Amino acid sequence: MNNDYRIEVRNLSVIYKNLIPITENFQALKDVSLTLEPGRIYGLLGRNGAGKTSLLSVLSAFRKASSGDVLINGTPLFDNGALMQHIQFIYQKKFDTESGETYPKIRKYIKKETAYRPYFDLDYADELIQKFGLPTNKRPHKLSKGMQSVLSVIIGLASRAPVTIFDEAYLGMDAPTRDLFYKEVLKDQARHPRIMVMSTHLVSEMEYLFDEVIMIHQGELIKKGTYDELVAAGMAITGRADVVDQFAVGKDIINIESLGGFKKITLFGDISEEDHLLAQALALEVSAVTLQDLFIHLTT
Amino acid sequence: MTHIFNGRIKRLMKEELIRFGKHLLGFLGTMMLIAIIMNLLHDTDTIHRWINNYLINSEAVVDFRFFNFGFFIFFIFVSGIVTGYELPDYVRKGISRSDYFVAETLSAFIVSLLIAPIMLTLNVISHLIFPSDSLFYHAFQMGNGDPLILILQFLVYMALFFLGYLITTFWNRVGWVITIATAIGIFILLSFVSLNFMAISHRGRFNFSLNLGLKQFDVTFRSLAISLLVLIPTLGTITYFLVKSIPVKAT
Repeated sequence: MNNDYRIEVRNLSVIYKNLIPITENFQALKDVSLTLEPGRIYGLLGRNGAGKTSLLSVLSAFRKASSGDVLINGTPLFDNGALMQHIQFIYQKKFDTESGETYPKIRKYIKKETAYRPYFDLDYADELIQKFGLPTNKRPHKLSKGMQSVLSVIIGLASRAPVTIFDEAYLGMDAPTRDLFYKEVLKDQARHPRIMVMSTHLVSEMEYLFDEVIMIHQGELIKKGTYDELVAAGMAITGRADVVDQFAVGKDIINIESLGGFKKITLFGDISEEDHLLAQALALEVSAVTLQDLFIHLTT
Repeated sequence: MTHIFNGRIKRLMKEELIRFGKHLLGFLGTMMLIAIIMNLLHDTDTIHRWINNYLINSEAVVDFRFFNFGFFIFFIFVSGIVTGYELPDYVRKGISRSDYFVAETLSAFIVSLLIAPIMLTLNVISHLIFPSDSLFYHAFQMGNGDPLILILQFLVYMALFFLGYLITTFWNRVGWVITIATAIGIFILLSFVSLNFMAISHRGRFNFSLNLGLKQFDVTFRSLAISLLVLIPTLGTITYFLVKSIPVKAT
């Protein structure tokens, strides 16, 4: 398995154009640039409509960028058959039979879906089927929503694609199943390192999985860094309102909460040792900020 | 442009040719079933007469029954539609749009070439089932028995494959309303070619005059072949460029 893939996104923009110009075109992504390094798990965070799926669609060549480039090891990705077979995009698939589509039974379906994945491991897929308790005698559209999600993630993991993308594919799963999935992600990533991108709203639950976190808001990349870097850059200060205000002068405040004469502010940015000492001197309470809180404050 | 003989393309072509075989066998099976039912109902004169007149010897089903031009024209057109419809599924499986286009076009090319020998074989089988049927001889009379008609048939199949492919590609990009409007326009434009081809096929001669009310056209084998040879790459190129950047939804 080739696990040396490095993805470079340069000035990426995605605009959804209307054929009939009655309404305005919608810009889903604005000038996004980032690099994804081999063997790392990235958490992609963003509110509803932030542009997560648009970004992931371009990263998996489902959609062409309106402008900008996506390069894998320096080669443009879009419509490159040699690269596309190594990118597995897993999302909440609708197993719709209304359009007349028919689905084979589970094992056959998995084989069919992974027919063009050169690193697909059928033995591992069987192992996951056993672990997750997926009923193989059923067809995908007859499964519960949670089990449909399980089927999708089994395909994602067992494909062992050098670039594996999960776009909220685990939403239908119950908590124990999600926990099992997270463990499998870490286990298989240790055995077969790859670039993994996981878009989620379950921030606090999944944060321990991420080597790096990418935050997008209204189509723009707002933060990218390791979990530790991001969390270390956040600080909550609580104390008397006037003292807190005095401390906060010139600092990047991302949230303010007031209660009577007390105030709690959340800061984000370079927080020096001197700041910590000053807060101590002013008798202010300093506390860490969780990734989930940072995400909420940075995107509201 | 993608390498034309890469492993993915070969595999896709294999899949496509197997699908063609399966669909053909399915149709053959249906026809055999009709023959069996007809034999079972042999004693019931009225029903037998009805089947004979309306189902077996009716103008509309003659081509289908004998796997002639009419059957394959329908078959290849539907194949084109299905090809465009299935593109997003293959992109989701990691196949590039270019690889898919090349594989499907090559498969359609092979199928269009194979149609003549398949038609011949099926007609012989059909004749064995219905030995007394004079329509068997009709099947070999197309183009007055001139083998050149097979070249025209091949070209029409390729043109119709691309037309079907183009229609669903258009649908994927712009939705049904514009697709239907465009398809009607294309059909009107193509009607001239297809009508003339049908006329030539069934009248059995290459020099045929068609009065469209506007002008007297003298249609020849050469003029039809040239028009189709222009049409095929035109449709193919339009389809290719529309397919190449088609967005695929994550649904």
